[in-house]
Amino acid sequence: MNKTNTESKVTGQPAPRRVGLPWSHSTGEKVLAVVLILPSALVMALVVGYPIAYSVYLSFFEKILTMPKPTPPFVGFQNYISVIKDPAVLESLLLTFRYVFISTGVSFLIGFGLALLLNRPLKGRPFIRSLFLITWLIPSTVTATVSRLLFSPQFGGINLVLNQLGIIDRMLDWYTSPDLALPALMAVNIWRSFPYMMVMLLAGLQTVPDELYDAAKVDGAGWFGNLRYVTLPSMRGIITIVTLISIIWNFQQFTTIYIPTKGGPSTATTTLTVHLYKTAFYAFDHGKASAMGTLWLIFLLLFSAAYLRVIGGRTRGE
Amino acid sequence: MKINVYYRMKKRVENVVVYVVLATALVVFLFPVFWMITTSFKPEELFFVVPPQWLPLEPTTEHFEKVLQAEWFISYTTNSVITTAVTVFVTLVFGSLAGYSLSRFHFRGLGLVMVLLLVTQMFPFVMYLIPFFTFFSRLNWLNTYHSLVLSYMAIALPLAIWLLKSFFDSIPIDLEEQAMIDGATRMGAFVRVVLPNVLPGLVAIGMFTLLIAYDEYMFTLTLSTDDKMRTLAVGVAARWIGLFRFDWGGLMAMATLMSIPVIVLFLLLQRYFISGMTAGAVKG
Repeated sequence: MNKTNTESKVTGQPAPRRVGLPWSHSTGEKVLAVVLILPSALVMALVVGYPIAYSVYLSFFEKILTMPKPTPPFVGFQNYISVIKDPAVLESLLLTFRYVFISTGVSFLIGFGLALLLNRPLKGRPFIRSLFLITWLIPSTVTATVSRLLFSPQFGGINLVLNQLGIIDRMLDWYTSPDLALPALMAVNIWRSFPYMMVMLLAGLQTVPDELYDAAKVDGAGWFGNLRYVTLPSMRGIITIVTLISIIWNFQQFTTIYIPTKGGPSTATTTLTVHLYKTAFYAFDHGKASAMGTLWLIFLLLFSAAYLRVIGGRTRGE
Repeated sequence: MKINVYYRMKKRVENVVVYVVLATALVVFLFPVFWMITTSFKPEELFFVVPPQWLPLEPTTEHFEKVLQAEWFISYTTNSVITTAVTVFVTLVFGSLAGYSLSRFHFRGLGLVMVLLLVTQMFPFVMYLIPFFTFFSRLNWLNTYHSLVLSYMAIALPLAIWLLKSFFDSIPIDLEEQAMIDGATRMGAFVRVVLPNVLPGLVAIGMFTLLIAYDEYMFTLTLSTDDKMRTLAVGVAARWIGLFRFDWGGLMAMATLMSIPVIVLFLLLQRYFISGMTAGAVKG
């Protein structure tokens, strides 16, 4: 099963030649191969395999912690149906879509814009890049906690700045206002995640061969033409990967939402993770929560496959 | 030539515009960090002053002193340092061994394994809480370091293996073959020849793992119910929830203290980190 990888799937450049031994393995080497992966495999079986398997298993049972039943009854797909029919889940799903796609979209735009600016030979470029990365490096628990102060009505920095700039005339209570809470959370998330995009996209920009730009200039392309016909097509692979990773990670966001608002006010910021958490730990309905988790996994799998095909433009045979 | 002069001026104006835009962006984005740091140096009375004091005219270190001497801070810090260090070390060791094996040896179903590693990142981590809590409490491993490290690895290890494998893939096998012809064992070749070449990758993945472990909140909150076994991440967020009179100065001081080591570490390692971070994705 030797993949003849003559072209790298991301950049279309020739890839390093196939690694791996050209001869078949001796028994000793087979043993070594297994021994090397054994520690990781064991750990992952325990902390990844077991929880996922247990959750999927649990989704077929009715397990509500407050019920005094000794063994939870098997209920087939009832939990799944309950999840699909639940209006709260739908509301949460739509909210999550808003949160994820706007966060990814805006942080991509900012990251790409900054990457374009930084792609020039500038003095002190690594220094500037490092300054931007600070927002990504700061632990998310710190960011979430500090954001509670920043957005607070009495003396939060955001309100003060906006007030001084004349944009608002009174102090807004961001995290307790149903209309402002989600945008505030998205802003915090974008603030945190754009540097990662910026760094990756900058690296991607630097792999675009100069000859392409020269050719475009000969054809009379201006700044926008360059972008549309040279930059974006060349970067398609890395843009796809970076945005997909961002989407998947944004779906997972829990800390940065739960710490400032706990999903509130009422359900204004209850994304799927928060809703799942509340179903499991406030309503104690483990069966239903597990069904949600499994559906989520299936959804993301299908979404990723579709995303790679549509945006990535290639059928990724892994 | 006239055209040349025009072109050079255009370039110069362009550069100035770029610098101005970048500077503005920096000011906007770093403002919250600036706010966090300056608030931590402000005496409490000045918090509510209007118009606001952007730079504290009488900076004080009282918040920092209070936090640094607090027993809970020392306990949180110790726990954070230990769990983070162990997680990074174990993840890098296990991860590079596994990544190397997956890269060099012909496994049936390798593609499936790689896909599965990615898929695990798509399952909501929140769901791990129930099985973790049940399992670790049955083993009596609640409020221990090992339960925390293992839970952090649930997030970090699959990612590490996946990234490390692709790093090893990018290193041609000639180096090891040469070393083995010269008499080294396979593992000897691994350590002496291959590892030095993946160093940027190791640094990048080590840093990622560090950020994951240091920042981890959900699992730590659930698995460590005893405050003495909690970490900085939980401390900074959970300790002040529910108090109606917040010690904002102390909180900002703690937040600043928590952030400094990460930033310093990054500054020291940044060249490796950036090249490691980008090499993995760009090479495909």
